Amino acid sequence: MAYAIETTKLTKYYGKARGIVDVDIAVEEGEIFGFIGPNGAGKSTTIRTLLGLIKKTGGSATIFGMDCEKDKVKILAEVGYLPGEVFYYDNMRAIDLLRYSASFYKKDCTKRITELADALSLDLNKKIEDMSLGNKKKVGIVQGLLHSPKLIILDEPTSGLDPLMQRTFFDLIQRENERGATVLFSSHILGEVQRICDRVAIIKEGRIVDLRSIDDLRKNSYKKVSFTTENPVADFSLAGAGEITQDGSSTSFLYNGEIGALLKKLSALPLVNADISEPELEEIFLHYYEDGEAAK
Amino acid sequence: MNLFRKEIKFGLKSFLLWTLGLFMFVFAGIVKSSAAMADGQFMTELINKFPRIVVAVMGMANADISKFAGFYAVLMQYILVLTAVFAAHLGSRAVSRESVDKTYEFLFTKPRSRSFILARKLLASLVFLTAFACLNLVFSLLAVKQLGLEGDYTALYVRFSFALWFVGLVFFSLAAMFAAIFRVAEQGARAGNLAVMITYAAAVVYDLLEKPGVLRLFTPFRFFLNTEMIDGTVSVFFLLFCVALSAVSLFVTFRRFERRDLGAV
Repeated sequence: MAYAIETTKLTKYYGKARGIVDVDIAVEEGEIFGFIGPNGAGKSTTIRTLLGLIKKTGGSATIFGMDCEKDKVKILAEVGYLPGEVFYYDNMRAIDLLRYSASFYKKDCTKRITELADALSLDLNKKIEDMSLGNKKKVGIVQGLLHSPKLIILDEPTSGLDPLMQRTFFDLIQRENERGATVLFSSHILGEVQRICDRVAIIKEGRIVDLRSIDDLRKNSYKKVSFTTENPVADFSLAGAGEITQDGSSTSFLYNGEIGALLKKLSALPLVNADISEPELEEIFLHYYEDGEAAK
Repeated sequence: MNLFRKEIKFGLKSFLLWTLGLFMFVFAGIVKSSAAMADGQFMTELINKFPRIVVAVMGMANADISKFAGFYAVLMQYILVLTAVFAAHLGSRAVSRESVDKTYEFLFTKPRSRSFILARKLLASLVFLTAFACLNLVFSLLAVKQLGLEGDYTALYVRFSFALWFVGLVFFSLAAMFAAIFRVAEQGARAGNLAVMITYAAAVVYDLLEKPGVLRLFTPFRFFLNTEMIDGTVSVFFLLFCVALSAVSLFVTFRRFERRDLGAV
């Protein structure tokens, strides 16, 4: 299998401070790969190591089979990157910045710049310093995509975009993916990862704690259960149930176990209402950040 | 627009401000020269009454300001300090500007090596340094023309302008090296400015000592002595020393810059 991105025991320390430790990820060509974790977990460190902005302490990282440090220039010709916070040269107009960005690639990007700017309703003649955060982000999106990269790396890409523009952005990314581009999508907002990603790696305190498909993560592991009884149930407990909350006669929890055992337990209760559904990714995700190994 | 052109465009405004300072220094200085030369004996006696350290700090040690060449040499000591500060600013900015402005994620994720980008930034800055030295020559010629002096001092202006460039190159390279070594841009810039101050202090000490010996090696401000510049006997050793010092500093700059972590500072 050809991997667009492959890291093996990738490690980065800033002096004695932990950045990332033994990060192993393998992103297949053509997939949209989510990378989730809270701020400070190591997402940006991983991405910056892949892009050669910071030097790894140990392990290896390749993009399209090329070493991220030795073959950096060749790799970057195929990569489009959108950072979480965008900073550009304030005194430049958007069009000048984008032409400048395009001048680093061996292709004519003029048509593509116009197409992307139209899709995002971006005024190209405006100076960067006069732009709102959202518009600067749009400039960032265009500069990241204008050379039709084979790999798109997005680090918290939606901050600053309004919900309508977020939808346009996701459409753009999905179109790029249909064109054949691989996408690495880093975010701490699980809903948006859930929205477009095929697989997801969860990073916690610099280490990958889980790596699985979005479907697998949601369907095979946890159920969100809530029920109401005629009278409050005292001290509800069930093997595999976690995050149990009780409010009067209503009880809810996340369940990871045999569905038969769950139904047997519920049927023994004086139920008024019951609901078993797929939990939001965020609810599952919280488990990875509980202390200890309970969630796994 | 390529990287070199963009760097030139970006640095132009700041360069024009420095040029304005140079223009004022040269013109005001040279206009004053006629007054100093008119009361030559009085000025020499006045300076001799000052403590030697004050004269050294003012860059007037061993200078005969009753003659135009001597006065111009003293003026050039001030211009040399101005050039050193400007060059240090250029060197440190070339290395750290993208980190300070937080635009490093834009530029250094483009398909070019760090050395490629740094080389163009340094080259653009060297263009400004060269233009600065050339303008010193032009301003000197224009300002002296106003005085209607007898004799042709063009060779003197050319020698001093070359000296400005070579000494500027040393401070430019040192400041670039410090900017590459220090992770925090402010610390790098401070080290570059400190290099100017310390070596100027060394130049003052050099002027105070009867036999300064190897001290000259530690102060670019005395690589080209006024007497040598006036006589036209420029030290080839110190010319080559400037080039060697700059080459080593720039080598370290590239090595460190290639290996360091890039980030906002």
